[in-house]
Amino acid sequence: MRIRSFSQQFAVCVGVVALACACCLGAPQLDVTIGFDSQLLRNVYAPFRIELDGLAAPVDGSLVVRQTAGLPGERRAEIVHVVASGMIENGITLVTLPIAEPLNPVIVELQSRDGRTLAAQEKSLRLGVRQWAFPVTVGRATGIAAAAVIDAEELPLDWWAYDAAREVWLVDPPVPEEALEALGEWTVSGGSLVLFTGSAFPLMDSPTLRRLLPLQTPQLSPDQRGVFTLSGTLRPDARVTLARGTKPLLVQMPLGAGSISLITLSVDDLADDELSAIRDRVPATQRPPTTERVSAALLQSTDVPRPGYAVPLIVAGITMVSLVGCFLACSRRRWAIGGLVAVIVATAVLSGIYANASRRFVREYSIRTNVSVLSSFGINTVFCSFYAVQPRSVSFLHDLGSVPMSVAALGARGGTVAAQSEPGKMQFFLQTAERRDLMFPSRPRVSDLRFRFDGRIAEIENRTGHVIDRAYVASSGVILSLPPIQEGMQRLALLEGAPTGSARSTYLALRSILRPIEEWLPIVRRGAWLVTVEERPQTTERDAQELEREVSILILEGEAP
Amino acid sequence: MRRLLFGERGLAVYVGFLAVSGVTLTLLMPWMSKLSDLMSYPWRPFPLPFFLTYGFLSACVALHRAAEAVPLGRPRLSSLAVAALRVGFVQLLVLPLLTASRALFPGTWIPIPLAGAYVAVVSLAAACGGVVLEVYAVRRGKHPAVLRYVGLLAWIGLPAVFLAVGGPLRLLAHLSPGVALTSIVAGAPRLSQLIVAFSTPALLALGFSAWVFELVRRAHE
Repeated sequence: MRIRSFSQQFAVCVGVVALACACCLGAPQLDVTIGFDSQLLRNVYAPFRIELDGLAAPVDGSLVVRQTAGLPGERRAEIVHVVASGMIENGITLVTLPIAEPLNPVIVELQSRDGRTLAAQEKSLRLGVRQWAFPVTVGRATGIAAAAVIDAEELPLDWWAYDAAREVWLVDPPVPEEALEALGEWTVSGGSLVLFTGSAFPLMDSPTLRRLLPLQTPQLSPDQRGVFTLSGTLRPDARVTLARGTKPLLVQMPLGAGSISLITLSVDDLADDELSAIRDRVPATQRPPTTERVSAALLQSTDVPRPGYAVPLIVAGITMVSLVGCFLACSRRRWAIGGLVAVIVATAVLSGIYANASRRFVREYSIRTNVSVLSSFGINTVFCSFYAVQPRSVSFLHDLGSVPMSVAALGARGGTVAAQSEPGKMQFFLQTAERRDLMFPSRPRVSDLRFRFDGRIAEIENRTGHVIDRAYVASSGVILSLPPIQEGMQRLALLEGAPTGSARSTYLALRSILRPIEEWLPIVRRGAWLVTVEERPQTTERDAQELEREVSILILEGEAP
Repeated sequence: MRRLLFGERGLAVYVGFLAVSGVTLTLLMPWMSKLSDLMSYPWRPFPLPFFLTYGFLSACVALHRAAEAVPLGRPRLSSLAVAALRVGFVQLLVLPLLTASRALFPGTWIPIPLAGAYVAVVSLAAACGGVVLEVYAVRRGKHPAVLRYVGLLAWIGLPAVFLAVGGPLRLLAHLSPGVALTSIVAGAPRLSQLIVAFSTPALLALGFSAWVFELVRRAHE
């Protein structure tokens, strides 16, 4: 009897434990990885990998990432990113988000539509915070000091996710095509990409990789020791910077604002001193050029709609004169009062029309500068500046696929950084006299322009549906101003030019546009490029409370003649 | 007609009223033409001083003009009509400046007619009060001007004490024309605040008018 009782007790205990385990197994769980090998930088983008597991069925809700800006003990603000919403299923969500303050933990939550938290994970980033950009090695460690080591599957698919990387070393193939595309885009934005090839080349060869290689017609050939070396014809801008004997070892080529470093051997075939020499020659990533200066200049040069100072005095003067006239005349003329009323009503109507017609004070000013670079790989960056005259809630609509990052919060009363973003929209609050700058990187859209330049004649095909007033051709360090580009196909013979950076224009506005894109000129120093600048006229929105200006700059690489 | 609208020294009063209101509005107009100036010297459109000046001067003019309509402290029913006519005339004169002040209101224009209507009702109450005070002062042998302006300042100032009080009593601060006008122009007033704001001068005007009617009735008896 005693034994049976013990068995029953044991069975009950096992049952309780099993039930608890079942409950735990049935509960959704989040596993979050942030940064490269959990390493990241403050105030730059970082890749987030959010793995959701344990959901019995898809739930209608959202995946939310909560960050806190501001150091502990200082004024802090919550930044909320809704990274996915709708029917959420088990699986992996890859997203690139700006890191606000890594000393504060990041909380990732799965929320139901009614706001209940179904699962959450708090992630401390403190141990992975780096002060400077760091090298990222893909595949395995190669002895590069302080490098973050990740697998090829962990490579982010957004080019702006590599914001924290000083260089990316692709050591072991294969690398997914989408990741190679993102790495190419990142290189155009200023990144430094290192490719190990040699015997590993056949495993990594792909059309995207060919676009990255500084060699045309690459071919693999073994030496007498059986070591495979990649060789081929150098592309026009490529140069050999290190050699083993007579064979090139390191071939480097600028791509956009960045550079590609090709190592013709696999990492296993390199001697330590060769690897060390390569490390010394690989350039560090350049910060992507921004349109911060042009946005600031455009914002500051924006006209403030306002009535003339003298309007109230003129209005009061007209009323006074008619009043005196009425006073003098009304004892003799019966119509004097009627005349006074007519003058006053007319003055009131006219002053009302004048004050209403774009003379009203605007509450919010915004500048949106859009730069697209389209070459073998393309990038798109948007820089927005907002300024509020009165406290105002701002709703910033943007393309899907990226999340804007606050670049700086400036203002007479100090900035607020609290913001809430969901796919395609970011909301934040601006205090009086507060300025906020947002950066928004994305992939470029396909251009409706085609461009070809042989050094004398520019062939431009304009399918945008409108005339482009401001356009330049940049080639071999010379910028040539073009006449307005009409729709359709055009052949323009260009004979006169001016040195890059000192292009003269009859338009003040053009000069103000050209100067800020000087940062982008290293990109256009090689090859032939078409630069177009389109400014949308100043517009006021929503009952004249917002004034918006938009400038789009397209930097399009010419096709081979 | 000239005597009805202007009376004695009426032209100078109206011109002075217009000049001060016009200069106030001019001083409030933004001076910056580029946003860089605005960012260096943050300025926000603040039409309240214009409306406070216009409201205060309008009430003063109404008191002054109404008192002049009661010669020798003998009230007549026509005195009230003349006072109301002069109040309306003042509001007509300021109409062009009110429409020009639209430039200082980003977005909605609703506060302008609301504030104009409120100032008109306050001026009407001040005019009726001016008639009563004139009769009272002449009969008691006191100086009417002191009574008029002390009374106006007390109406503006005393209820404002409730601003320091929390809770529902704070609503009583809207008995003051200054607080009520501030609420209409600078804020988004609640319905209860608007009711208190408009009903106070309306009831005062009715009360003073009833008093004048009573005085006239007694004088006829």
